[in-house]
Amino acid sequence: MPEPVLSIRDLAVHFATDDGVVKAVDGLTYDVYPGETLGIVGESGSGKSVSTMSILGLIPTPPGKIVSGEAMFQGRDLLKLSKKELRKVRGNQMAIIFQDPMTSLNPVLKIGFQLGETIKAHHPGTKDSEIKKRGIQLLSTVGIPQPERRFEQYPHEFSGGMRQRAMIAIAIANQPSLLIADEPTTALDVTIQAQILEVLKTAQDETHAATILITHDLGLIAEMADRVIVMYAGKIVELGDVRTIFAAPRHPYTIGLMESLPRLTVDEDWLRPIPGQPPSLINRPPGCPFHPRCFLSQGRVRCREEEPPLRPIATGMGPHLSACHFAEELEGATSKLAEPTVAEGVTS
Amino acid sequence: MTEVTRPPEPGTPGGPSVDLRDSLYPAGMQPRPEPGMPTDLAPELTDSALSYETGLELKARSQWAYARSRFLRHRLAMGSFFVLTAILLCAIFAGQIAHYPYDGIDLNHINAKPTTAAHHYFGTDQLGRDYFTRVLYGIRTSARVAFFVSILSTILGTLIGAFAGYFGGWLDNLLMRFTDLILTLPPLAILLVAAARLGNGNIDFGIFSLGQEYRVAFILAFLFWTGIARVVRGLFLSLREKEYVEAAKASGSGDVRIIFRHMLPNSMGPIIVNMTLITAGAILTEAALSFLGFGIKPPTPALGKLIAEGETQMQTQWWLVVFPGLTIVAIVMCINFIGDGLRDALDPTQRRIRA
Repeated sequence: MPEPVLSIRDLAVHFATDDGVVKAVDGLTYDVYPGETLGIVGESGSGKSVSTMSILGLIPTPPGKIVSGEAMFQGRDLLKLSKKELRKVRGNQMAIIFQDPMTSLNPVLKIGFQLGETIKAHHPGTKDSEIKKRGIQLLSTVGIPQPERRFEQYPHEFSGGMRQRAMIAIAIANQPSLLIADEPTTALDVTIQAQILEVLKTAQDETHAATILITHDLGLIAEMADRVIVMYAGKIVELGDVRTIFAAPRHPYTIGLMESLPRLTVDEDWLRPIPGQPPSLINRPPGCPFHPRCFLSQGRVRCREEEPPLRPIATGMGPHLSACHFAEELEGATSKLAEPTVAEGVTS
Repeated sequence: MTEVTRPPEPGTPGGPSVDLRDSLYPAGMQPRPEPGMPTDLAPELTDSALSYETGLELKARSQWAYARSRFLRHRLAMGSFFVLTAILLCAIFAGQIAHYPYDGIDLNHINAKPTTAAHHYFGTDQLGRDYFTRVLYGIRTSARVAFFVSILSTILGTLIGAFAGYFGGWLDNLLMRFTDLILTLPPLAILLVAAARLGNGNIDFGIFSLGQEYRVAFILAFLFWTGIARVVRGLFLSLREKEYVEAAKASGSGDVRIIFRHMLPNSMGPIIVNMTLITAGAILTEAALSFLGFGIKPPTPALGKLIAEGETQMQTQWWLVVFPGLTIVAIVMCINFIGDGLRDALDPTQRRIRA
């Protein structure tokens, strides 16, 4: 196994609100290896974004607070860096692609200027002519036609897809070793999504960067990710190879997520949503956070009282971790996204 | 609103020649390009080819270009702009336009009514000084004070408001309480005391010295920045939450860079509008101060001072009050109308133009 690019250990991020402490991320541990794409999937509020934003110092503090943990990146703990040192990491060795390209570009500055900003921020003293050359090259890398002309234009002259391309260009401007794509296609329509994914792949090839892909779109994960983390209520509930997760999910929440997707091959009158609501992160249910909604728990005492640890599961398909006491009972379960698509019998 | 020019129709003289080959092949079935040909044709497309494709040529325009075109179509503001420019040009070239020095005495015409004879267009005072000349030089003084005040207080207010709004927390509290403190000071009392205590004459900085009018200007600037500080703080509070600010942070921009490069350009509209209002306010306040005898000291003419001097003879020599008064009104009104126009022009949500 190569050295991980980013190694997060036991990260906990809390937000102090009027109603109490929100444990947005609670004891998160994972590694990102060079060149891989790690998908993080989960419902809204499961702590997907907070986990990555917090290590870059991009959550508002207060109310946010990193309570514990470490995030080793290139031999340094990001959580112990000063603001200034952290700034040197952001946009340089680690870059973020935001969700909404419509609002993530400054409307009064030219695209070229905003591209140049990133380069200048980390390589002060770069000549303007050089920046322009590099910027135009970046724009053509991400597939923007007429990059020379586009370089001099404003965001309002770009379409949504173009803007996201420009955002990707900005993110890879300094050849980062880790790219964080926070729901990069959520704000785009489906045809553009496919294009952006291509661009993202090109960007990865170009920079050899590891990528953390945050999304709630399982299709996107299946398409892009090498490994998958499923998060629920600020914790990892399942972690494994993308093939393993889709072919042999071993956590009831993951199965629930996949069951709630429509499928085209079978005539479905009803989708099966996960019953109930995500738990309050202030007043987390005791034991397994998922047990009130779980088809497997069914009132079992152990689910209610004992918090399941993330433990290795033998699926015979490579490393696979699940945080369910009764993961073994899911033996033989598969998702309808895996081929052949039969997942009947696991849901009750 | 974008300028749209249609390219000539295909097939018409001057238009692109019609090539039906593309439409004959279904999508994806076009003849393959020869080996060695660039597969990505997009960069090869010329502007005209692209515009033919889309049917429209969109002219790229910046925020400022839009604002400029909106301002140019604002009739009242443009009219005011020309009048103000004319007044200021007269003041700048007062030495060339006026037929007398501002303290020159024409003993043949004492207390003369406005007349074209001997070029006393605005009449003369009881010493025989030409009032037209004195008004021109008065505008000079007033304009100097006004511009100095508006620039200084805008810079001060913007800085204080920007830092308070961007950083928030205790700094915001400190700066805003200081702003509140300045706002609670009774302006006229402070101005009178300060003007009286700070003395007069030129301000000597060693390397250069400023005329006596800048004493008043400093006091006014010290009192006038509060409005802008509050406006800018409010703008920054909302801009701070914008995603592009977060994106700028994520790409490693520092605080100062974000404030001046990303957020300030987004707040320029309200800042400029407030600046014009300050300019008008400064002229009025300076006139009031001079009228009360605390502003500009003679013999330097100032518009307020001229009114004060003429006030005693107003019953008989009306021109001594009316002309400097009208000048003040004209200048202030022009500035306010320009401010209105700028506000409309710089507000991108305002599509329709009033006036």
